[in-house]
Amino acid sequence: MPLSPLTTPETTHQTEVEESLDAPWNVVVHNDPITKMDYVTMVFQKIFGYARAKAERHMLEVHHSGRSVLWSGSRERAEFYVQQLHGYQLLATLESTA
Amino acid sequence: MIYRASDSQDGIVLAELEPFFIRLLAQIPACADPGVHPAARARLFASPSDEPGENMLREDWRELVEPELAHLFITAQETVATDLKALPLSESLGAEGGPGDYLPGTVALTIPQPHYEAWLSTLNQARLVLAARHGIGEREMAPDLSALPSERRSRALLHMFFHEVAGQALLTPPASAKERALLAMCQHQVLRQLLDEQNSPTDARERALLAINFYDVLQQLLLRELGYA
Repeated sequence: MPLSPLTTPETTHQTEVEESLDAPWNVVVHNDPITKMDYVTMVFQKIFGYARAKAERHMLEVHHSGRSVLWSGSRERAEFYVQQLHGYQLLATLESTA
Repeated sequence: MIYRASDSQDGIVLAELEPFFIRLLAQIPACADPGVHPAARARLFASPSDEPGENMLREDWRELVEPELAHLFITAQETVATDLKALPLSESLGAEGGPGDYLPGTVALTIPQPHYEAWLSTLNQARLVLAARHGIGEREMAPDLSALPSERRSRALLHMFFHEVAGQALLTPPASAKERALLAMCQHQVLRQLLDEQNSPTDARERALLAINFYDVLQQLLLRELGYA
């Protein structure tokens, strides 16, 4: 039995929403001229468990490029990381990759 | 010597503190409080998203997350304020932060090891709030000296010297009495030059920059103690 024309758009819409929700979210840290570079490196190590070298690479990317993507994944987890970063007073946002 | 750091099992000891540094230390919790200053509040309670379609997230953040962050920041400030109670009361500093009724060079402050994280957080809050309140940014923190007019260049140089000399004294305690005396002399000279400009209209901003630089040195010391610098 063919699908009713009315149901098709709804199905399409739902699929788009699901895809959008599934798309990874980036946790981005932005440059701030006041916060010390060593402090930023410490925060990356503590929150993400990164080794010092990796944390420093991200810190330097923030310093030179103005931003660095620290983590990508589920929205819920991204919000959690942004809150943690704000707790250390870093400028962090979450961005959709969709 | 104005102050020095010595490691002990209990924590860091800032010793031989003189009135200027006692005042800077005593002001830390107040400096960290953004009050109702819009720029300071916006910096401490930043938006979690720049995307236009995330209004609901921003609203939820203001309602649910910001109070938690505020609690976190205030708790750290209270820990620092408790440690600072060991400093002489403000009235004993004298009207102008002069010698007052204690012997200069005899005041010390201990930062207990379990409080390092609270100090790091509060010092960072204080630096950010001071910078936001006084419009201090990249130009002041890393000035391009060649691009500055001569008056501002000399001031920027003095701030850089202060930062360097304060950092040397704290991070690399002097090895000999001669080195100690030289560092003390440098600190006094640089500080006197900076504080002589009290009558200029930019006085509050200059003082904020001094505090930001001094708190930066303290943060560096704590990060080193924690093995992060």
